Amino acid sequence: MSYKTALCIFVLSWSLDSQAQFDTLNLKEITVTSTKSERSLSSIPMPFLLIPAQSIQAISAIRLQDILTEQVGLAIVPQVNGLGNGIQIQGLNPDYALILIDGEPIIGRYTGTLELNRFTTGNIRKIEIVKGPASSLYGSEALAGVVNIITDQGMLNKFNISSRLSSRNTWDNNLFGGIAKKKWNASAYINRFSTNGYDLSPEIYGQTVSPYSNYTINTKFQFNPSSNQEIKLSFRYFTEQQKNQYQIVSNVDSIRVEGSGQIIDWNFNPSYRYIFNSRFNLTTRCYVSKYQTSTKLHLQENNEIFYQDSFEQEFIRPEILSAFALNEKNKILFGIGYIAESVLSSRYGDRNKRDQYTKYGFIQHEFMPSARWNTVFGVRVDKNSTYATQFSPKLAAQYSINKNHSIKLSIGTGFKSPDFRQLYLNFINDAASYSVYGTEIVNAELKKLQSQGLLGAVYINLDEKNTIDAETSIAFNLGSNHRLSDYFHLDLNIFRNDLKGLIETQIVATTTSQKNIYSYTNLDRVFTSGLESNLHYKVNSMLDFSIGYQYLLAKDKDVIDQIKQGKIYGRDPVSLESYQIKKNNYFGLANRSRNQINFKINYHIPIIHVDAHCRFLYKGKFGLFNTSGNVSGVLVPPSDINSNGILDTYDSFVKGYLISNLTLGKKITKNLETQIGIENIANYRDPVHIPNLIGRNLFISLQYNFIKS
Amino acid sequence: MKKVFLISLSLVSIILSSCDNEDTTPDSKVSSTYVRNLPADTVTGFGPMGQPLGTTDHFTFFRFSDSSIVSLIDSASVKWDLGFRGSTIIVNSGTSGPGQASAFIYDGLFSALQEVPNGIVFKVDTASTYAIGKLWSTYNPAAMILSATPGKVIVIKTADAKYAKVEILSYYKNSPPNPNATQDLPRYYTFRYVLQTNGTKSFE
Repeated sequence: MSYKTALCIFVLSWSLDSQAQFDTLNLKEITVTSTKSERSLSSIPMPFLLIPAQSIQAISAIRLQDILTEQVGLAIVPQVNGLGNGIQIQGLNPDYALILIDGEPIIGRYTGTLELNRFTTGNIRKIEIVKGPASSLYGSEALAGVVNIITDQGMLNKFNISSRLSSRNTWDNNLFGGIAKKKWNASAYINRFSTNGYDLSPEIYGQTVSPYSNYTINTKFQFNPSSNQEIKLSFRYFTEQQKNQYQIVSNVDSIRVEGSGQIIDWNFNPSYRYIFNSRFNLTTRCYVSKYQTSTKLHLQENNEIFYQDSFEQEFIRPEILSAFALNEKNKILFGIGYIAESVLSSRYGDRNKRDQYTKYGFIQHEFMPSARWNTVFGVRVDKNSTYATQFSPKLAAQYSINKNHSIKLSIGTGFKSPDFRQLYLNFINDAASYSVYGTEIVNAELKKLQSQGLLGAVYINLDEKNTIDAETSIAFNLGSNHRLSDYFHLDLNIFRNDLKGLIETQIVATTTSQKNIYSYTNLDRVFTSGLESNLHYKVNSMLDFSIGYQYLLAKDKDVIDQIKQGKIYGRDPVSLESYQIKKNNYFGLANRSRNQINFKINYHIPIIHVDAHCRFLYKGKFGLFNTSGNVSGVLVPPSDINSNGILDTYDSFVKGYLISNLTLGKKITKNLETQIGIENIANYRDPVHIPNLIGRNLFISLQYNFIKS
Repeated sequence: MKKVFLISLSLVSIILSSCDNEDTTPDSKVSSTYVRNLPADTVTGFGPMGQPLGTTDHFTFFRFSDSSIVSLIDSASVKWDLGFRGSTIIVNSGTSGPGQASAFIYDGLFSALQEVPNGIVFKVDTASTYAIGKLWSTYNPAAMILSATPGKVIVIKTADAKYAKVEILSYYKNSPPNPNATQDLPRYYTFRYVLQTNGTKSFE
């Protein structure tokens, strides 16, 4: 509840090379995410987005969500539990977006979504985003796409310090140092972020987001003992503390609880590369990561423990990767690896670790039959200890019609393995009279109840092993790039993702006292499809514009089938009569806008030499059919007006909204830069439906670069 | 800050269609009877974890013939057809009572069900499953609201082989258009039914 506005301290923010940031039309940029080998951006045969450091710095984005939220086709959505945010790519849930740092997967999907606030942008060199599945290279989770955060390598001698202060006493401080010698280089980075949080409903005790602070430490070291050997070590550590206070309201009572939450997350990645010759090299690496989080709440009145929860995940993955070029036209990438994962959670009913092992191998063939054709074929096999073997092929091709126009086509598959929660959860909610068991334990738990005489109806066969498979998708992308002139670029892409076997809860039994028992099963089939277009117009070296647009349809195919069969009804809330739902009443999946538009202007104001970056971000109306009740202390009528569990035209929608952001940056001296800005200028808020949308945010930042060579 | 909701056990308000035109479904020759706010083991409130408070675990027994509540003393008799407790509905048969009533859940519109379809199997309550149970409802865990699933009609064969069709309309007191879990009191059934007294399967 503290809206302390930015007074007069500063920030800093990074080196802002005004020339470079206006040079966004440069297509010579090199990327590694899409094919795991260095490719120039213009030759990537799949939908791809590259965000260079300059673009991040230009708008003074400090956390990953700040920069991703401004990209067309990406949507930042609140997590199911209302806390934190995840990223939707091509309309697919955050659970299906793989997030990598320097090519290595980030773990800690405690509730399915990776919290984007965990990632600072202070040492990012660039962000590469592949849209569409990339399981043929990355395996599980890379179903909607991949976000690869590439951090600064310390190839230069430099030392930067920066600080930013924004509304709500939010501080972001960065320290980066790098040393580069002939045979080795090293870098160290520290970020501290702290905020008082925010409160969108001040009349209710407790904040929408409680105060929290975190540290990120990242060190990297590279040593080249000889010209054909490369040793790299990198270590990242993240820790966050949050203080919670809130009120829990029920019909009869309201109680106040307080406590703290903690996250610790680290990863370590040693790698060794041997370069046999210009055509053949071999890399071995062993990535190790651990994530743990715990929450403890107690009653304010008597300190009695009200709730506690803990979760620990470990991940170890050795991998061998080899790249060889048969000739100029054929390049082959081959890799094998092993993943050992374990989770320990207070929600699994005991203190035992659950393990899962995956062996995998992949091969990718890049074939360039002529200067105009570019093709990539890849396939990956994942053999897992608990779910069925996954086979993920992908085919992509690009054809250059001429120097200015090209067409891309890619067809690929993606999968997401069942997570530990779906396999091992052992959760009994006495208050709401239900329990949920993971598929690996449900038979044993039901048999236990049966032997105690507590089991009523059973809807599954208890003697048959209960298994779930990975969720899978097939995706299709067809795009084109057009250089209409040196100053005018247009990119188009149409996409379609068909997902099946989405894991949902289902009733497996009831107890003799009529309590429902749930487990998980592969049920739903959904699709998302749409069009994305980006238009970029560079007026001159001082001024450029861009407009991005995405049209998105996302629907549940089983719901469509049921509507066709006349099996879906609605109930009028006033007359209480039922009626039949027609096909054109069905809107689709919740939390997705059909229309999303971004408009950006970058202007270098002459005379005063200030860079202005102005962005208008529009999100069309969307539905949230399961909100209702007491959201952030506000009584909300159910948005599923006709009680049928699907989002249709009879339901209430969240209206579309526009967010405007402005950042101004100026280089004061050769080493000193400052930025000021205002985000959400109109102070648009919707606490009930968009709890992650903070009100107006003012900031000021300052950066000093001591050495730069 | 303790707010205690005093519950007045409101008596069932029965409005016979003959008395009130609004309560008669126009397209149906046999008129619908509306039963409003039938208490089904009501609560005085909820504890901090959402557990219901003040419940008795007793069913409220209902019979169609005179649209009335049957006294608890008669629970072991054949005087009632349906029993309501929380979100569970029982029929007077099998493990639930000495009667011969049975039920079938029909998917479709109440008004469109003009006669009992041929070949359907009426079920009685057994130790493991109820013929009706909670099948009439859908729970929204986010909203913590139980709603009557639209398009579900309960077809009943009473002990004296009469057919009735029943549609549950609301689970909350006074049938608010947008029930709110922290405000509206659950376990108050509002439903409508058509009882065919001539023993045929037609609801026309």
